[in-house]
Amino acid sequence: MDALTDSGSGNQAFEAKSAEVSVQKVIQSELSQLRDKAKVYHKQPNSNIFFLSSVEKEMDRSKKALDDLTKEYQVMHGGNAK
Amino acid sequence: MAVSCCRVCIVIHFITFSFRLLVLGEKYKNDYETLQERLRTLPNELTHDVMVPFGKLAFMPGKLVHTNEILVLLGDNWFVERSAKQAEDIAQRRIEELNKQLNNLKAQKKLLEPRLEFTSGFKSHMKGKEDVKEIVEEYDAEKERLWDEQHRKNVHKEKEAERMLNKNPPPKPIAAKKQQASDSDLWARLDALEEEEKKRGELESEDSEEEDDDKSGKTLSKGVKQQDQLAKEDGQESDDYSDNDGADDANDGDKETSGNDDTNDEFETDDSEGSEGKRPAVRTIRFTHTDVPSHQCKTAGSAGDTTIDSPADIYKLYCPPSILKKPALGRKKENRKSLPATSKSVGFSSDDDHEMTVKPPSVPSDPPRPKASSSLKAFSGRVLETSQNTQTSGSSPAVHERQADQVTQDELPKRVSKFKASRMAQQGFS
Repeated sequence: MDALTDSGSGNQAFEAKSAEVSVQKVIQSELSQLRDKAKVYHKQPNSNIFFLSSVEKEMDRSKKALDDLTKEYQVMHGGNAK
Repeated sequence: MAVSCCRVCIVIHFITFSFRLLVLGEKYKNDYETLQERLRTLPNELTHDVMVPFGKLAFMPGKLVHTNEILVLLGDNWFVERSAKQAEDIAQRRIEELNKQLNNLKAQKKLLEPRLEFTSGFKSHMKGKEDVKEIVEEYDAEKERLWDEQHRKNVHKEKEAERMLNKNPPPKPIAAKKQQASDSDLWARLDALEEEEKKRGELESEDSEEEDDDKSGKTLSKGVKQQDQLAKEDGQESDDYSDNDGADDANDGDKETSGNDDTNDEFETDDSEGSEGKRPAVRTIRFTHTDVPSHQCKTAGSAGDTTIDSPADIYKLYCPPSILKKPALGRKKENRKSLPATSKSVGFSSDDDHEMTVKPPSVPSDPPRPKASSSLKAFSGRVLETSQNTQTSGSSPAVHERQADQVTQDELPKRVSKFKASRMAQQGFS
């Protein structure tokens, strides 16, 4: 029952966010190790099809996702602190 | 305590449900947004290089062609072929719908959270962590049982002590004698009071009677006097009607025995003839009905006598069919013909003493009698009290007819079914 209070839900969301952050960090580290002309495919959500992309595009996409997550984390953390 | 736990469970259920829906809604929303982005980029190129899934674990490089032809699922296995732009718009609308649902879910969550806080706080109150404390009575079955036994024993002892006291009262002879004397005095006093009450009751009744006589607003005797007055007035009115009414009322005045009539209600006033001494408590009014042909109404109407002086005149003009039972066989054909629906009027006493049979002026069952032919006798030899006696010449022949009918009725069996009677009558007519 305690997990369902505000603090409980906040913890769950924090954990989810932190997981996504770690995922993006892994993506960035993997992409950095590839050569520039390497073929990178991006998986379309909810399907098994992969669209051809590039390392740069995927790196940009990953960075953007990471920035969004950190912003959300800061908002959540700031709200909890208040 | 159990109630609070149940409440908490219900609240938890609702909250978890809303949380799950929220999470799902967010996921769907993200999916639609990425789809929108993909649909936006698809028309930019003629073909797209993709890795096509080849079974569960393998992929093959391939190309996407006809990227502007999108089949959109509408639901229930219904698809629609749309362009990329149109599919993008569909996705946008679905995102908006999802946003609405998510807002509702968030509002629901906001409503449920305070409830959860209250129930959780209530639980902590139960534990005694707050200022409010619950009064709890501990129950031990063994202790209760011991207490009950002890209590029973105490009660038993008490009752025995009382019994002993009653059996062996303390020695107080003087007090006992005084008590006996007081008892006898009490009984005597009670008897005296009863006698006084009886006397008072008699006196009161006498006084009340005297007062009623003295006062002008007395009820009992006045009521009796009023009844007498009414009886006298009825007698007078009957005389008046005999003078004033026309031919329609002629046959009503004929005296006739109505022994076999179906409605043997005899109208009479008991105290109308000078019984002014002791008034009876209950007065009975009995009246008889006799057959009256209904064509009287027509004759009255045809004669042009449409003046209405009383309700009886209205009835005579209207002349409805009688609700009374039709008499048994024996009626003459003439009467049958003239009586498609026999109607009955006030009857006559069977005695020859000419008891006063008063006809009330407003009796509804008092239709007029038919006019007999002129060939019949004018005078039957009987004195009639009512007004209709002197109206027409056909009254006495009608009386004769009825007497004859009644004779025949006496001879015939009393009970004949209505249908059979009508059938026989028709056969007789034919």
